[in-house]
Amino acid sequence: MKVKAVTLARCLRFAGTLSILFTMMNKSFLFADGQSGIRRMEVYPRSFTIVGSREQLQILVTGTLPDGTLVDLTSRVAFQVEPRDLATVDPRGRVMPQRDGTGLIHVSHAGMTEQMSLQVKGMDDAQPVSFDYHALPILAQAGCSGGSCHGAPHGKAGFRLSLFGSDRELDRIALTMQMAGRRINPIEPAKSLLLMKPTAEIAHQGGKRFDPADNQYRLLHDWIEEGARTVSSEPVCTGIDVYPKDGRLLKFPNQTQQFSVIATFDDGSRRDVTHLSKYEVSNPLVAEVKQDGLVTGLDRGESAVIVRYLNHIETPLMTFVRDLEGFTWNDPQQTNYVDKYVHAKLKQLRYQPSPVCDDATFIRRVYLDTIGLLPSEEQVEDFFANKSEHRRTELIDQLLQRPEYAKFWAQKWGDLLRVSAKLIGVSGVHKFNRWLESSVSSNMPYDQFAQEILLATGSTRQHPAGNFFRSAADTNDATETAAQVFLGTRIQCAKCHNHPFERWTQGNYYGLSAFFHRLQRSKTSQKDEVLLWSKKEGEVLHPATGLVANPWVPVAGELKASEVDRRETFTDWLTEKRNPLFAQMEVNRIWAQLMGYGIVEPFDDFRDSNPPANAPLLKALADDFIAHGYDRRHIIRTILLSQTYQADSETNEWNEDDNRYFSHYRPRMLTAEQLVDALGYVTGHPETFFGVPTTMKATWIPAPDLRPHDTSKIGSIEFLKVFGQPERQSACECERSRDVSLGQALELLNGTTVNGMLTAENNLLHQMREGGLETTEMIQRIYLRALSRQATEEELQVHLSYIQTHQEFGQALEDTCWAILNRNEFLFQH
Amino acid sequence: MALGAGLPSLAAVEQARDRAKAKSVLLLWLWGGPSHIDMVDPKPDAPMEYRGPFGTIATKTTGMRFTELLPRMAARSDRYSVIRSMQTSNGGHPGAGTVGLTGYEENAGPIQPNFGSIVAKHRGQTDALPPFFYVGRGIPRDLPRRIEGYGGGTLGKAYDPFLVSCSELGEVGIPTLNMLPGMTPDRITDRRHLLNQLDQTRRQLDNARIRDWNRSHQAAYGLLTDPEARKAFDLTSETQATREMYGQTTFGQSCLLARRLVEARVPYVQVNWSEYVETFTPGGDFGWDTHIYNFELLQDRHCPIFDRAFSALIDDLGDRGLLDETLLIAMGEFGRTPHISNRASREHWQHCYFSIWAGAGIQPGRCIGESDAKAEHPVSRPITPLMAGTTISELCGVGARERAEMKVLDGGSLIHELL
Repeated sequence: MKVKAVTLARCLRFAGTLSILFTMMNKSFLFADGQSGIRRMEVYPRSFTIVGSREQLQILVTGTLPDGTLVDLTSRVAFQVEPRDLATVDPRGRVMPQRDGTGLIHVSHAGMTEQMSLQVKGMDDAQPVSFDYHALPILAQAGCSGGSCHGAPHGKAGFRLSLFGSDRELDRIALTMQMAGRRINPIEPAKSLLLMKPTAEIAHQGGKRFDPADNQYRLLHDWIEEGARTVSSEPVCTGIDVYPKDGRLLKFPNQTQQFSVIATFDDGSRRDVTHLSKYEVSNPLVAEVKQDGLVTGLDRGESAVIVRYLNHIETPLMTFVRDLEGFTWNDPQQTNYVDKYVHAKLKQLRYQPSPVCDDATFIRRVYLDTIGLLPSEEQVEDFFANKSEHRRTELIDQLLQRPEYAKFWAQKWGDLLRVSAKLIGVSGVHKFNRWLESSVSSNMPYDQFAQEILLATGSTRQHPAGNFFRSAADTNDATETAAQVFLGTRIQCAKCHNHPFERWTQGNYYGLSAFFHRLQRSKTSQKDEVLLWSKKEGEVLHPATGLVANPWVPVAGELKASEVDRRETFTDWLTEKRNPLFAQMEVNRIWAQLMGYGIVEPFDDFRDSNPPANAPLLKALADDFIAHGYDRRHIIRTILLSQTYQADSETNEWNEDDNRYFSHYRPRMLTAEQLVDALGYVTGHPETFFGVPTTMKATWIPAPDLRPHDTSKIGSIEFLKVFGQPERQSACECERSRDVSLGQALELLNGTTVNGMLTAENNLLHQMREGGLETTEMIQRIYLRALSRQATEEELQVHLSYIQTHQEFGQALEDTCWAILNRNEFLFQH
Repeated sequence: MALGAGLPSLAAVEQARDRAKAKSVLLLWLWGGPSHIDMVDPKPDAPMEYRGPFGTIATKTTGMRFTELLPRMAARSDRYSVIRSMQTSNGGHPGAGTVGLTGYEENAGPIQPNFGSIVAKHRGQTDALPPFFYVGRGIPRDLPRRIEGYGGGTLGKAYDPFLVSCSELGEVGIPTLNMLPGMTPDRITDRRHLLNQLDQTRRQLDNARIRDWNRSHQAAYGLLTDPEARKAFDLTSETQATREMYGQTTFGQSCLLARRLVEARVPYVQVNWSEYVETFTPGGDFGWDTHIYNFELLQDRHCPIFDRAFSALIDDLGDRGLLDETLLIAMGEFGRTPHISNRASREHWQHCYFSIWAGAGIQPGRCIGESDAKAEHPVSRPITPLMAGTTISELCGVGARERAEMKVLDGGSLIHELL
C-alpha cells in the first residue's frame, strides 16, 4: 500500500511537470516562427476616462500575424501603468482605478510596445450602486431575469422579474416591496433572499448563480447596504459599443477573443460595462463564451456572439478556422455563383464538397423537388437515353414548365398562408388555391405576388388573394403572419414583451400592427365571401403605455402612412428594392425547400442572433432575385443547376461532420404527400381523396381538411397526418412535422394504406402477372418506378431466391415490393 | 427572528421543487363528470336536497373529509393532495373534455394539443415505445361525437396518443398492432429479413435523421413480432396479488397496465375511465355521467372501483420507488349539480369540481381550495384546466420558454399551492 501511495505521488508530480511543459509548448506553438511572429500590435481603446471608484476598464490588445489573421494578445502582453499608483491592470487587461489623475498604460509584447492614455476622476466622490445600470444588468447576466427563470410571464416560485430587466418599475416593486420586503435586508445585506438564493446558501431551484467572491455579489450587496436606492433620475443608457464590433476570423490555436462593451449614457458619460453585460453564442457547438466576455472557439465554423446590456443588443459574428493536416482543396468545378460562394466558405472552413451525384439520383431528386412526384419509368428511360451533355439542364427547364410544378409549389404556399376549409370555407380554398397555382405557373414576380395578397381589396370571391386576411382574421394575426411570411420575423414574441433574442420591442410590434389595424372584413350574404376595405381612422394603442403606436417598420423606423390605406405604405416599403429582408427571405425559403434546410435556419427566423451559414451566398441570391425582377423560377433554376444542389449525399473524410455549409446533399424523408403519391405510383394503385377529382395527387390537394369532420369515426389512422401533413393552423413551416415516429413505421409495416395498395386487385403486380412478364422484368420495373434505377445483379439474386423459397408467388411478389418500399433509398430523398 | 424562522420551511419547499421533474405523467381521466359532492367534497350540513345519502369519514388530512364511498383513499390522503376549487368554462362533455385536456375551448381558434402531446413533443421519440399512450377503449366521446382535444392539435397528428385497450381480465388490445388480413408475424419477419439482405447489397444512406428512422422502424418491427418488446403490455407477468389489488375491473387493470408503461419509461399515459360518458346507453361503458341512478352507481360501482384502483396505484408506485418521479393525477371534465335533480340524480356542473394530485414535485397531504356551503362555487381562487396543464408541463420540464416556442398553454399559470 505504502509503495503505491509513493508511486501515486510521483506520478502526480510528474503529471504536474508535464502539464507545465505542455503549457510552455503551447505558448511557443502559437507563433511558429518564434516570439516575433506578430507583425503589428494595436490597443483598444486608445484613451479612456474612468469616472468613479466603482468603474473599471477592459483593455484589448490585438496582434496581426504575417498572413493577416488577427490574434487576441490581451492576456499575453505585459502592462505597465505610469504613474504606477494611478491604476492597476490585471493579466486579463482589466484596469482598476486607484486615484484621480492622468497617465499612460504601456503595453509590451515580444519587443513591441504600444500605449493608451488613461484619465481617472471622481475617486473620492460617493458613487452608490445604480439600480438601473448595475443591479438590473447583473440580474440579467446571472440569468435571474431570463425567460425560463424569473423573467417568465408568471415568474418562478412566486418571484417575477421583467424579461432581462425591460420593465424597471415591475422589477423595483418585485425586489424592494413584494414579500414584505424580505428579498432585501438593508440591515444585514448578506441575509437578503436576493443574495442567499443565487449563492445557493439556501435552496434555489435555479441553482448557484454566483459566488460571494464575485463582482456581481459585491455590487448587489452594496446596493442593498446602501438602502437599495432606485432613484429614477439616473442617466439613461443610449447605446453600446462592442469591440470587435463585426466579430473576427480566428485561426486555431489562437481561437480565443476577449470582448469589450462600452456603454454611452444620455448625460454624455461612457462606462465600461464588459463585466456587466450578458453574453451568449448562437452556435454552442462552435463557440463558448464566459460571463466576462471571453469567447473560445470549439470547432470550425461560425457563431454569432449575442452581447446584451440592458435593452441594447449587438451580435458580432465569429468565424473559426483550423488548418487540417493532409487537407488540400481540390478546386471542384463551379456552375454558377452559388458554387462560388458555397465553395469559398467550404474552403475557408476546410470542408471538401462531395462530387456531383449520378444520373439516377439526380433525376429522382429533381423530380421530387420540382413537381413533387417520382419520375415515371418512361421518363427515367428517356433521360438515360439522352446523351447530350446538357441533359440535366434540359430536364430542369422542362420540369419548371410542367403544370405539376405549379400545383406542387402552390401547395407549399397553401401551407404558409393557411389555406384550409375551416378558416376560409371550401369554395374559398379552391379559389385561393387556383390563384396560387396560376401565380406559380405564370411565374408572377414575387413583389407583385406580395402586393396582390397584402393589398387585396373588395370581394374575396373576385380577389381570391384576399383570403389571406380571412385566415389571418384580425390585426394581430395579420401582423404576425405578414412579418413571418414576408420578413422571416417571428415578431409574435414582442406582443407581450420585448423580444428575448432580438431588438424588437413591444412598441415595434404594435407599430407594425398599425398598418393592418384599419382593415375591415365585412361579411356579405354570400357564403365564403368577405369584403375587404380600409377605415379612415382607428389607432393601435400600446398596451403598457396606452399611447398611440405609430406605423413602424424594421430598419426604416416610423413611416408616414397613407391616409387612404395604410397597407399601401407597408407594402411599398416591403417590396422596395432597397429592402433586403424581403428578397432574402424568399430566396432563403426557396433554398430550404430545395436543399432541405435554409442558409438561415430555421429558414423563417431571420434575426441578428441567428446568422446565415453563408452571408455572401444569401446576398448574391437576393441580388440576383431583385435584378431579375423577383423571378422565382430563375432562382429555383439557378440553384438546381449548381454543383451544390447536385452534390452526392455520400460524405468524404473532409466533410462528414458538416451539416451546415452545404458540402453534401442532406437526405430527407419524403413529405407525407410525396410519399403517398410515390407509393401509389410504384404499386400502380394511387390513393384517392375526398372532395377532389380521383386523378388528383396528394401533392396537389388544396387543403388538408376538405373531408368534413367525421364524428362517428374513432381513432382512424390518417396516413397523411401521421406522416406530418400540417393542419395549416399556423403560418410557420414548422407545423409540418419532420419528426419521425413509431406510428409512421407501424403504418409502413402493418398499415392499411400500404397493405391496401400492395393487395389491390388491379395494382401493378396483378397487371404484370396478367401481362405474363418474367419475374426479373417485374422486379426491374418496380425498381425503376421506386428508385429510378435498375436493380443490381446482387439485388436481383436476393429477390429471386426469396421468391423461389416462398410457395405462393403472389404473396412473394407483394413481399418483394414491400421490401423495396421500406428501403431508405425509397423513403428518403437523397 | 420571525424572518429567520420562516426561511427553513421556504427552503424545504424549494428543495421539493428541485426534485420536481416528473419523468412520467399518469393521468386518470374520469370521463363523464364525477360527482364532487358525493366523493371528496361532501357537505353534510347542506340542505337535504343537496347533501345526498352518504355519510362522511375522516381522512389523514386535517380538516378534510370524504364520503364513506372512498375509505381506502381516505386512509392514504397523506400521500396526495386534493383540489376542491376546480372550475371549467364549458358545460357539455366534448367541449369540457377538450378544455380539460388542452386548457382551451374547441372554438377558440385552432384545436390546441392535449397536455400529453406537449410532453411527447418535448421528450421526443426516445425509446421502443411511443411517448404518449391512451389506455382505454377509444377516444373519449359522448353519443353524438368525440372530443376534439384528444391529441396533437396544433402540434400535428404525429403527437396523437397511441391507443391500447385493456379488459377486466387484463387482456391488452393494441389496434395498430393487430395483424391485417393476410399478414402474420412470420410474414413480417420474412419481409424484414428480405429488407435486411437488400440493405447489405449497397452502401447505406446515413445521417442523424436516418438513424432515428431506423430506430423507429426497428422498434415497430419489434412490437409487431417480438413478445419481449411487448412485455410492457403483458399483465400476466404480474403476481395474482398485484392484479387483485387493482381490482378485476377494466379500470383497475388499465391502471396496472399504466403502471407497467410508466415503469417502461413512457413519458405520458392517460387512462380513460370509459370511452362514452353515458352509463346506460347502448355501447356505453359506464362513464361518470350519472344523470340517473347517481347514488346507486357511485355506491355500488364507480366509487369502489376508483377507490381500489387509485389506492393500489399510490401503494404500488410508492413501493416501487416510482412515485417520486411519476406525476399521478385524477380528474374529470367537470363536477355534478350539488342540487339533486327531479330524477333523484345529479346533472352537469362546471362551476366547481375536483382533481387529485400526487407524486413528482407535489406536496402531499394538502386540501387545496374550498367550495361554498353547498359545493356550488369555489370560495377560494378557482383552479382551471389551463392551470392544471401548465403545472403538468412545468413539472415535466416544459418551461415557459419551451411552451412559448411550441406556442402552447399561452397565458397559463402554475398551481403553486401544489408545489
